[in-house]
Amino acid sequence: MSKKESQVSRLADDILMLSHLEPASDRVSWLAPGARGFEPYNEYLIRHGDKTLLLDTGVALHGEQLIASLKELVGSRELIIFITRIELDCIGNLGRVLDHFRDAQVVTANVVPPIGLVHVSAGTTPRTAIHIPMGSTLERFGFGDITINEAPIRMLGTSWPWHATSRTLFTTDFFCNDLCPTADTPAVRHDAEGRDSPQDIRRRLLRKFDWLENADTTVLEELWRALFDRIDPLALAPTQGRVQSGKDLVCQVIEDYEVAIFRRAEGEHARQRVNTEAG
Amino acid sequence: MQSVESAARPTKVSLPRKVASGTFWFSTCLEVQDGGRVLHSHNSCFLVVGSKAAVLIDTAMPFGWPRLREEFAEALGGRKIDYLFPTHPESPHMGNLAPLLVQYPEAVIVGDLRNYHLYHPEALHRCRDVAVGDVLDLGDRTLKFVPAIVHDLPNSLWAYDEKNRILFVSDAYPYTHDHEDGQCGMTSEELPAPIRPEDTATVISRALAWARHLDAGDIVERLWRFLDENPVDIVCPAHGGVITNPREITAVFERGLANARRRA
Repeated sequence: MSKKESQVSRLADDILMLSHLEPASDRVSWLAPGARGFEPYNEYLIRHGDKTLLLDTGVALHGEQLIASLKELVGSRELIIFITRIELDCIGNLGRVLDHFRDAQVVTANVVPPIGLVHVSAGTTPRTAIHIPMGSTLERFGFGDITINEAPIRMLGTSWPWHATSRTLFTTDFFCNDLCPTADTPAVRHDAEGRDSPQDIRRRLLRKFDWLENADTTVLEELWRALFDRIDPLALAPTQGRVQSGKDLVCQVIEDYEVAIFRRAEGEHARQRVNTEAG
Repeated sequence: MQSVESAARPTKVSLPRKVASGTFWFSTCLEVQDGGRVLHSHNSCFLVVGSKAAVLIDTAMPFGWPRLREEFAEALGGRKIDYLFPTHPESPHMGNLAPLLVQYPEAVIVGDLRNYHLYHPEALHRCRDVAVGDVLDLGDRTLKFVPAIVHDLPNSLWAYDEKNRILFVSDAYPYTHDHEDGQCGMTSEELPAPIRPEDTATVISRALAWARHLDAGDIVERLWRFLDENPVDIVCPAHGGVITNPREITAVFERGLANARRRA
């Protein structure tokens, strides 16, 4: 079992990222064959007053380090856990976290209650998970500046929480392609140098979303545009892969994904924006 | 335990249930809100017992483990589970692996086991990768791993029992039915009303969300071709009742997928 400590990075004043690097491997189904480097696995902590919000719980491989980090970083604050998807890279340590933080409140926009999907130790009686509709904020849990968006492109039910204060979009299993070339590369990227091409992004996306290969993307593009017309992120924070940080970089990455998904010609998006602004 | 053969048009059927010789159906049915309605949604698993070995296909959901543990033991009648085959790595399909590995300490996990070093690092020594075409020898019957023609995660596999003409299809052929006591164990031909394409919509929209964005014609054609080339009398889905009229319900499923696309 991986014993390395979680790498803690500060994304914004009140947002911490816990990341764990693993060597890229063909044993990971969502990585493109032959992928090289190190893949960050991330969980996010948002602290506000006497409350801490944990976005997803990561994979079981990192359970011990996650618990050690949470004990230190959560302290006596009330813990709220938001689950973006019910896949094993999001709920992999949910049972373990509930065993250690027995008063933690689980919240999700997914129709399947995540607590029934994990095992907890005898003696742990978790509080019932609270289901909130897509589009809600987390105000009742003390985080009014976080809105839960439905992911425009998804497999199962998937939420993309938007933290308006820092303009961070938590994108769970999307925007995950960027690996660290070396083990000491920071898990947050600030510049565009060496980033993947749209072709690389598409290859990586199809490893999980294989149906995109033959999809009619008309509706997906409408959903995508509706989201990104509404929000203007300064950071994209996925469950796997490096965080993309900075306005220009994020714009470029979103455009690269649009080329990859919707098979637009590169630069078309920028031209559309210019035309829209000019119009 | 009520068997399928003995239950023509029953009014109540509980699980677990014997589907065919040495083949048992278990479920952790989930109540889900669908607007103002409460629906039941299957999360099933199947135990296939041969003369030499037994395999559990999927594991159902963790919340049902205390009951499932007893039900498995009763169906096994003193035998042990030799193989655990999660069709793909999501909790409704593999969420009970941890207690199963404890309960059956000689059991081996088989399947497309990519990502298991992340999900079950403690059990890697009990993992055996299999691929399409591989066959599990259970003694007087075999289980062949076949492509998961309809899937959510690409690292999914189906299984085919050629001798008993049973196909285990994981996420395919999903349908829900109104929450009525005793209906969860009914097969497709025992439900009081015929299954309609719209009965598949809830689960398709959740587990197979891609159906909105894809003309599933090619996929359905592959499914029909598989059924033509591999005789199937019984279809065992994880998210729908057992199907005893496969061709009829394949047509319903096909229309359900087409409806999802049309709604988009």
